[in-house]
Amino acid sequence: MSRMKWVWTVALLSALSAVSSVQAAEPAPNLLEPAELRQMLERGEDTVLIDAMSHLECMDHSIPGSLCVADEEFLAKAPKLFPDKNRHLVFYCGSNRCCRSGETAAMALQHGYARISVLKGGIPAWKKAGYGTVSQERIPRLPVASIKPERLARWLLEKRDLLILDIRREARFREGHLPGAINIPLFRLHERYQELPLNRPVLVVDDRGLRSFLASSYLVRKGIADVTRLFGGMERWQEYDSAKKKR
Amino acid sequence: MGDMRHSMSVRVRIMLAAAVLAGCWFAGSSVPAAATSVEPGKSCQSCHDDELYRARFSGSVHGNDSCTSCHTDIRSLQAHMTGKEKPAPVNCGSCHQEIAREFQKNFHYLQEDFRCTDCHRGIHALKKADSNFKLAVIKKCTECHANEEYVASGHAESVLKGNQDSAACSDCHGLHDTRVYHTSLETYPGEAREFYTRKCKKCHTDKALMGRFGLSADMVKYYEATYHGKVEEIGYPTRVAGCADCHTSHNILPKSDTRSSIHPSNLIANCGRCHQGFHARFVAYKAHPNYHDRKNYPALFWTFVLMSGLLIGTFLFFWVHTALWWRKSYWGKDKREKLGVEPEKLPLESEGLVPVQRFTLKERMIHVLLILSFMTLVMTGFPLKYHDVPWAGILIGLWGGAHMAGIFHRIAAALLSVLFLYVAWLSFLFSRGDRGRRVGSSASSAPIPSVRT
Repeated sequence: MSRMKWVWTVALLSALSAVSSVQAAEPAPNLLEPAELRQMLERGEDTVLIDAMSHLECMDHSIPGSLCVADEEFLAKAPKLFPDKNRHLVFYCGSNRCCRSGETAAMALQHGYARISVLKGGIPAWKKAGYGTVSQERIPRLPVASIKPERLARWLLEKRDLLILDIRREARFREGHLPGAINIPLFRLHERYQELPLNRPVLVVDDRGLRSFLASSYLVRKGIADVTRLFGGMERWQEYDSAKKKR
Repeated sequence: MGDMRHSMSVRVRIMLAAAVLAGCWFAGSSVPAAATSVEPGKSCQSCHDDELYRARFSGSVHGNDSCTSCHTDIRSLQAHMTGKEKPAPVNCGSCHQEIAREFQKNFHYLQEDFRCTDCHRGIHALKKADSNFKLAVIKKCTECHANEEYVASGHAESVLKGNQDSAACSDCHGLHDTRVYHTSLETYPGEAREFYTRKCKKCHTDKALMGRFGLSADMVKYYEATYHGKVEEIGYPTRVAGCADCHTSHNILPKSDTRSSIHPSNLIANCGRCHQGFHARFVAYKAHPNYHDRKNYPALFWTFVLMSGLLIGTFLFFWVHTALWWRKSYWGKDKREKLGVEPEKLPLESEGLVPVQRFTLKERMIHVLLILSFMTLVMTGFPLKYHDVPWAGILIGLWGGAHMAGIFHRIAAALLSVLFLYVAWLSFLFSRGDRGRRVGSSASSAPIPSVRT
C-alpha cells in the first residue's frame, strides 16, 4: 500500500514539474534548414518569407518570393501585412552571423504569432545549398576601400576631416559609437541619404563589417565621391580598443 | 605605321565581328526564333550604335561572340524593339562552367552577393589581363582591400617589383573560389589554419622555386617535425600554430625587418598571442630547426645523438641480456640433459619447504604504477613521434585529442619521475645495507643487481 503511495507521489510530482517547465519555457522559433524551406516552397505551402534585413539589402538580393520587412519595422507593419496570426512566417538574415531574423522572430512570438520559423544560416546557407536569389533593384558593387581600426585610430588622432556614418540600429548606436559619428540606420538610408554632404569624406561603420560594403556602394552611386568603410565594423574596433587599453 | 596596322586590324576585326553577328542573326544558328522576325540588314549595332558596342566590343575578349550568345533571352527582334522582351541578367556560367562552379563557394558571392561583372566591370569592353597576371590580380583586389598591410607584405611587394614567382592575392586566397575564412569571421579557425598552411607549403616545398631565392625548401619538413607541425598534421589544427600564426597573414617580412612579427623585438608579443606566463628565454624556441645541423643547432643535435644512443644502447643491452638468459635456461638445460644430469625439479610443499613471498604489496603497486605510467607515455608519445601513420590519429583520438594526450603525458612523466627517485632511494644508490635483509633469500634472482660487499 505504502509503495503505491510512493509511486503516485513521484508520478504526480513529475507531471507537475513537466507542466511547470512547459509554462516556464519561452516559445522558440522553429529552425529551418535551407532544403526544408525549399521543399515547403515547392509544395506551395502557405508560407510568408520575410527578409529581415534593410530595404536596400532586400531589394538588392533576396530569396525568390520574399517580402522586405526590416527588423525595426516589423511591429509597425505587422498588423496590416499579417493580420492572421496563425500564418506561417519564415524570417531570414543576410549572413550567418546576423541576429535580426532571430530577434524579429522573438518579437513576433511575443505578439501572439503562433507559427514562426527562422532560416538557419540565412542567405549564405541558402546559396551554399545551391539555391538562387533574385534582385529587384541591384546596387552595382563599386570599389570601396576599407580601413582597419589601427588606421582609423591614426585618422582620429590626426583630426582628419571625416564624416563617420554609423548605419547600425539606433539602440546600438546609443550604447556607444565613434567620436562625432552620426547615425542613419541602414533600413532608413534609402530615405535619408540626401542628408549627407557630397563634398566630405564619409566613413561607413556597421556592426561586423558585413553590411557596410553594400551601403558604401550605394552612397557612391548617389554621388558621394569619397567613401571608405571600417573593416570588421564596430566589433573589430572594440576588440582593437580594448586590446589597446590593456596595453 | 604601327598605329595604322592597329587601326586596320581593329577595323578588320569589327568587320569580322559584324559579319559573325550578322551571320548569327541570319543563319539563326543561335537564335532560331529570330530568323523570321529580323529585318534583313539589321544587326544589334544598328540600334546599339555607341562607340562601346561598335568599336570596343569587337576588340574585347568576347568580340567573337554574337550579342545573343550571352543575351540568350532575346529571341525576337520585334519583341525586343517594342520593349516586350527585356534582357535578363546574363548567366556567364553557361559558358564559364568551371568558374561558375568555383564561384558558388566564393565568400564575395555568399556574403556580398557579388556577380561576375562586379569585378569584371565594363564587360562589353573587357580585355584579357595584360601579360603580368599577378600584377593584375593585386590591382583588382586592392581596389577594395586597400589596407596598406596587404600591399606592404613581402610577397606583394615582390610581385610589384616584377618577381613573377612571388605570391599574389589569388595564390593564397583562391581566384574565383575565395573561401569564407574571412578574418573578421573567426568562425573556422581549424579549417582556416589548415587551408592557409597548405597554401604556404605548396610553394615553400618547391625546391627549384625556393632555390632561386636562396631559401630552403626543407623548412616545411622541419616545421612538420615540431610539435606544432605534428599536431596540425594529426588532425588538431585549432590549438597549434600554423605558418600564418607566427609569420602573420600579410606582414610576412624577413627576421631582420623591424616591422616583421619574427623580428627579435616582436617575438614576446608574437608567441604571447597563444602562450602565457613564459620566461623571456621561451622565445628562443626554434620553430623549424634542422636537428642534423650541428653547427646551427648544437643543443638539438647533441640531444638527438644522445637520445638515439640511449635508445640503441638500451635495446642492445636488453637483446644481449635476453640472448644470454635464453642460453642459460634452455641451451644449458639441454646440454645437462644430454650429459645425463637429472633435470632439476621444483621442491614440493609436501617436502616441508615453505613458499616465500618474493615481492611485497608495495613493490607490486610500484610495478603496476610503472607499467601504467610507461604505457601512458608510449601511447601518448608514439602517435606524435610517428604522426604520419594512420593509427596515430586513432590513438590520439582515444585520449580525446592532442591537447588531452599532452596532459596525460605530463602526468605520466611526473609519476615515472617520482617512481624512479623512489626506487633509486630504495636500491643501492642510497641504502646499500638494507637490501639484502629486505629482499631475503631470493636476492640473487631479483631484478635489481646486487652490490653487496
